[in-house]
Amino acid sequence: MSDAKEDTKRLQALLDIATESLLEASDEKVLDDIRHTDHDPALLEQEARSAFEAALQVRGQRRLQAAREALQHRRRANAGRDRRQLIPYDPAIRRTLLNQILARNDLPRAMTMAFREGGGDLPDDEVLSALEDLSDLGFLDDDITKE
Amino acid sequence: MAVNDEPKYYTVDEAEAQIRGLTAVEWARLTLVARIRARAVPDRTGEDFLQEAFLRVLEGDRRWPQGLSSVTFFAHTLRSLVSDYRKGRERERRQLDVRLAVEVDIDDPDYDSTDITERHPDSAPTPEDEHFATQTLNEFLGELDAETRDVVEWQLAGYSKAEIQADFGLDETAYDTITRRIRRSLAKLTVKE
Repeated sequence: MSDAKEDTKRLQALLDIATESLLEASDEKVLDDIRHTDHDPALLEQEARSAFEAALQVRGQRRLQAAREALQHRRRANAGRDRRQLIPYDPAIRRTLLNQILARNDLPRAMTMAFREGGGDLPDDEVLSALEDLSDLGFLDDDITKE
Repeated sequence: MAVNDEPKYYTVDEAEAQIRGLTAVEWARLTLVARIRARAVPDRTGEDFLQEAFLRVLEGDRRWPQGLSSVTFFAHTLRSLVSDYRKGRERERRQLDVRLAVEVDIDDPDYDSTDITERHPDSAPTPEDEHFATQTLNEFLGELDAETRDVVEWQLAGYSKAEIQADFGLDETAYDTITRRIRRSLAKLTVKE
């Protein structure tokens, strides 16, 4: 092992010894150490308190961000569910609606092709599934269901 | 009768209350421990690691066994965080080496990119860390008198307190004095933070 690698191991061992010694020392001895090493006990205390306050702040920001994301997720989920309520009950009307949507120009071409490849022989449950997918993607709205 | 040996942990709220209840000396002691631990790496401060340690506890990522003193618990947490940080630096360095090796491959078809990863096993410290360790050790050992330095060398070699006391002819008080010198010398190095 090179001297430098050996030094890394020795430094780790030294830090362990120093930490252990600091943990075993009484409060009086620690305060004595602090004063004898040009440290200010009040500043050391403040530094740890600041680290704690900073951690609280980060946790608060992360919680806020998580809450916002959860809210947005819920909004999106609810929006999808609301649009699904627009899907007609009658299978024949559903099929007509699907064809109307597919005839629109605002659908991505790849999506139109994928549905058309299914042909007009899609079973009723697949028509429903396609409408649900389209509603989740925002292609089902009041206007078209009223047509 | 079955005995439940599972350790019990503080809830996050209880842990937060424990932290808020620290005494002035405990806060100061935590800073010292964090600064000493941070001497293992060149680019982070004790305060950085201490904040991370608090955050881990506050977010429930690090569980605090009930009955373990706050300073001892955070000392263990800090040790682990610094160790993880060093390993992360080593991983990043190896990934960079591999990327560089791939770039060299483009120009030199005979270049063996596996050499580089094999040269750096998982436990290898970065060259920067190695240099930093040597520098810190020299700085620390330079602060000590000859007798204290000898005791440190024996401690680093793994000799127990009893063995060192017997071989150096030190009674309890003399050993404590030397231990205090070691602690203070290292603490002195952290004043620069």
